[in-house]
Amino acid sequence: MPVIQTNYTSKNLSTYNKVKRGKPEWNLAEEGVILGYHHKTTVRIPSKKHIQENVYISHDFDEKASWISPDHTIDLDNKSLILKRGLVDVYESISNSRELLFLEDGWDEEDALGCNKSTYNRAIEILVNYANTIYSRYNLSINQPEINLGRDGSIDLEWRSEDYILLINITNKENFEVHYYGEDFKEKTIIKGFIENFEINDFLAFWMRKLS
Amino acid sequence: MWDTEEINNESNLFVRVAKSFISKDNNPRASAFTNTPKSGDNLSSDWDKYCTAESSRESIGKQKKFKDGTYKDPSLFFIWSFNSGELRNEAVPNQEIEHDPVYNNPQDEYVPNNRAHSIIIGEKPENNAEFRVSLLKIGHWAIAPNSEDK
Repeated sequence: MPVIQTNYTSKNLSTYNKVKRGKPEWNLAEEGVILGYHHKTTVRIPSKKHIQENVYISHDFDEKASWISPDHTIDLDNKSLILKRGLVDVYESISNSRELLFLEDGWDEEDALGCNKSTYNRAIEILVNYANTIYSRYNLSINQPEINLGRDGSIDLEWRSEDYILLINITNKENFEVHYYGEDFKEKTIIKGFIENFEINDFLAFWMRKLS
Repeated sequence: MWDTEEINNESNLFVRVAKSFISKDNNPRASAFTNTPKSGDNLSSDWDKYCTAESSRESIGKQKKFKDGTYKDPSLFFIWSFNSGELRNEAVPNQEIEHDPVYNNPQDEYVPNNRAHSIIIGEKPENNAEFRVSLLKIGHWAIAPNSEDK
């Protein structure tokens, strides 16, 4: 089913509607509801928060309603990252983690360092890269990580359950230095090592399937 | 002035964990055990020979914050307990423990007198993540947060 991303916004949706159909028939409904049909073309608004950005048009010739949501866009300072649309939990974690950027020196009531934006950006890019890779390669959505700031200004990506723990620590250094350690308590396996660039470490990505 | 003493492997050490370091599962986040950058390359703790978990927590309220000079609020902290023998033998890398009593006259309100004060110190871990997970595995709560504390 082809999906065409357009630049239509909610503002000009009615304009588009008038051009195509003469009168607007679509109404903004609750999140996730299909708004209307134009002949064999279904127009869908992915979610309220995306209404201001895009309208997605799909050519759905059997006119069956199916939900189409867009990939998530994550804007960092100097680049935009695309997170696959199925990775809703990861997206939520990243959105919530934005508050870390406001933490200044002494945020822990003691003498912690504040959040360094470049360390944070590096952490988010690593998370997006691995989440997308696992989604593409294994069709798995990894669980929501906790994204935390350490006292030393490093960022932790942390997953834990009764069965496993994985900690990826992005150090607060100019050079790229990332430490990881994971343990599967059931299968008694351990993975540990270092990441020195944004290239995917295949062993780590394979191990991270457990996090889904 | 207090003499420094040898801490045996049966002793317990209490480490404070600020509310902001509590995870969703009510345990400390791994980031709770990073060293404080301004106070040095070690982790402060209180030795159970000279305090209880409760008195260790109460003593937090006698300490001023570096940031604004006001006193810390003990209710924002919880107490995690380590066995010193496990720190020496099971942490990766193994840690050293030193009794490091604090005594100043007049007392420094930012670093109050504390006979129980001890430091957990070891070689710089090759892998930060492995080190902190190992600390999570060998400790337990002495004063745990309730779900409403988070």
